[in-house]
Amino acid sequence: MRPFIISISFLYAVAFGASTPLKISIGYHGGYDSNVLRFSQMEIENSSNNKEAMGGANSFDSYINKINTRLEKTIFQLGKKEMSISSSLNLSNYIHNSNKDYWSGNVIATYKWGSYKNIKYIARHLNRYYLRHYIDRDVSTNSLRSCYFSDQDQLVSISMPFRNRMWYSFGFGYLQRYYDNPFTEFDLDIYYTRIRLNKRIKKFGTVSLQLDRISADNISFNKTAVSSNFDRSYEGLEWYLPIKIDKNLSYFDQMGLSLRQEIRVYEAEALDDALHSGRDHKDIKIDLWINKKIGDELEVTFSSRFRQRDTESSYDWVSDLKSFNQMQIWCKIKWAITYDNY
Amino acid sequence: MIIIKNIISVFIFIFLFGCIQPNEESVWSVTEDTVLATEGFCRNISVRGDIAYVAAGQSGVQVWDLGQGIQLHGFLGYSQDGSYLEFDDIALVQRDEDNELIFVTESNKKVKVFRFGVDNEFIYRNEIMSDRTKDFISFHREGNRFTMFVADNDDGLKWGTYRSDTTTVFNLEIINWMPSSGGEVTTDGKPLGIDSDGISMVAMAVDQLGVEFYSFDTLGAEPTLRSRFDLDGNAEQVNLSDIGAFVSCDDFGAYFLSNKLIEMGQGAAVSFAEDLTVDHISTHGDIAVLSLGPKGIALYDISDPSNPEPRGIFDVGYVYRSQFWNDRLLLCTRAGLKILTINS
Repeated sequence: MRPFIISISFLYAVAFGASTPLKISIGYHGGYDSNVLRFSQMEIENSSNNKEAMGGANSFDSYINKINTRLEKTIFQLGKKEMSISSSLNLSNYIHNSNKDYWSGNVIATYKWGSYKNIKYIARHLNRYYLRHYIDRDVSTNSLRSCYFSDQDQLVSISMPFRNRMWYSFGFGYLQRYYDNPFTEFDLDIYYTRIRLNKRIKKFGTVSLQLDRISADNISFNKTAVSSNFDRSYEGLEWYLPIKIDKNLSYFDQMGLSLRQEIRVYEAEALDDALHSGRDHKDIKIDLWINKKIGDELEVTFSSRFRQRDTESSYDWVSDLKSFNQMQIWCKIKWAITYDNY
Repeated sequence: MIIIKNIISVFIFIFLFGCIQPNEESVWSVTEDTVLATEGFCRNISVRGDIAYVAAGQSGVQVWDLGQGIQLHGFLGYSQDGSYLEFDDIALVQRDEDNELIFVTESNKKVKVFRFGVDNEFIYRNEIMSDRTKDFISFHREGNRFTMFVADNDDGLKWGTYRSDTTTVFNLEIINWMPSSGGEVTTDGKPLGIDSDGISMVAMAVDQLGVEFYSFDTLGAEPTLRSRFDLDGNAEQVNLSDIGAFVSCDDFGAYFLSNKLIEMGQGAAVSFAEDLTVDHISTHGDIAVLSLGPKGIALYDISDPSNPEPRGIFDVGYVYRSQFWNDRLLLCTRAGLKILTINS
């Protein structure tokens, strides 16, 4: 967390030296999540017998408040060449499950040298994201402890034009997903390769297809006590298909639909690790949104997400335990201004 | 130029601070150094220096050199009155080096006394104590004697001081170990485990009735009941240490009773590892090792014995009991005698 904040502070200390405008946006999201803890149907049905698993919450769903701020500044511009940095910070507050409160942020440094020609470095941080209460099997057989993790994701990508109104990007990412005590046995170093193809369609909008090839290494495998005896490494493939319509819309400024699916296969094949052995899952997310600008500085976005994870396992109880459905509905109001000191 | 410097600075900073470090857990780790294949289940062990005397279940009694990891001797049975008798299932073993003896017990039977001297002959002497012996501990005494305390499941606490007795019958020299003093203290409980400091105290785990502490004036004198603590669960084994007693209570985990508590005879014992099934506890310095049967071992930091801190469960096979050998840990497991290092 601290390195991330230092990085942002330093970036802006550098950026404010440049005589270019600063773009500022502040957004508020109000939302609803139907399954905050990602409980399977089986767990929901059994929850009355195991209230501790709820981590003190009284409901499976929650209303959510989010505040988002974003700053963007061009460090220099020389003809078509331009270097800019941006960062955003999000604060999330779950009304009905305070364990879930978290903050996240990102820093993006972009160097452009023409249309669709750019190289980007993106650093994202997700700070102490709560999953749920799990049994700490390193020291106990029934003692539940809260499970948090933090993500630090870095991606370098290059974007180039392909054909008429088409461009592609290609990048490598390194995501560190490290869990808080006492669940460090789940620590992962995730390496991914990303390819994205974008097509701007006349009088319609933009369609993209993104593929991520993921390889996750369980770095704490066999490094702690009994629960680290299982290798949580996995291989995965994720595809993402966003369709943005921003032409020929009568009332709204943008409508969109995206589909995202992750297919994950765990490497563990140990017979005594029924929970992971031979397990795979398909995690699909469907997003829908509409956006309306109100004046130059204000815009409103309504969005919804449906998520479904289907887990395949030789054991029915594992499939029942790890499969879940989730529905989210959001309303976002964003206020964006440009501050120019000169 | 300034712009380029800024850009370079930005990227250097981002890369320097781009990564995060994993969190460290408070759990310890263990390194499995060696497994000595005892063939039968390694149920119990008695260590003298670098030599281990092993109760190897149906593989009888074995003698191992721990330093070199080699089996020196193995005894599947013994000769008695001209007949060779095989062991059924050796459960307990203890070495008395001064008297050149090995005591062994098969499950629920009497204690058998064997001579095992420098000639490496394994010679049966006689049986002592009584059937349904669950645990025993013996101390060498001057004048070729030893004093033994026994957890007798149907009688209570038995003790006795034994001396060597040689008789000659038809020019055949017969050596037996005969009691010179001894007796028993009956208890309402069902004794399962016993330990003693050999100086003034005996502790006995008495199943559902908890743990009993007996004191005696000198080794060999009659022990008298000092205090009893009724604990939850079935008290199976007790381990006396410098700071107090650790009691393993099967499904109810473990308890610690300080010396002060034992002396006062009342008060609340410290309960820990409540959700584990604890069969045996050994201690060394600030480390307590709880044997969990099929679940391996659990380590606890007992630097503050009033609040033992868990330091991890380790799946190292089916563990019956453990014992420290220097700074390493010996585990009696179904896969043999395992030697581990604890990285605390």
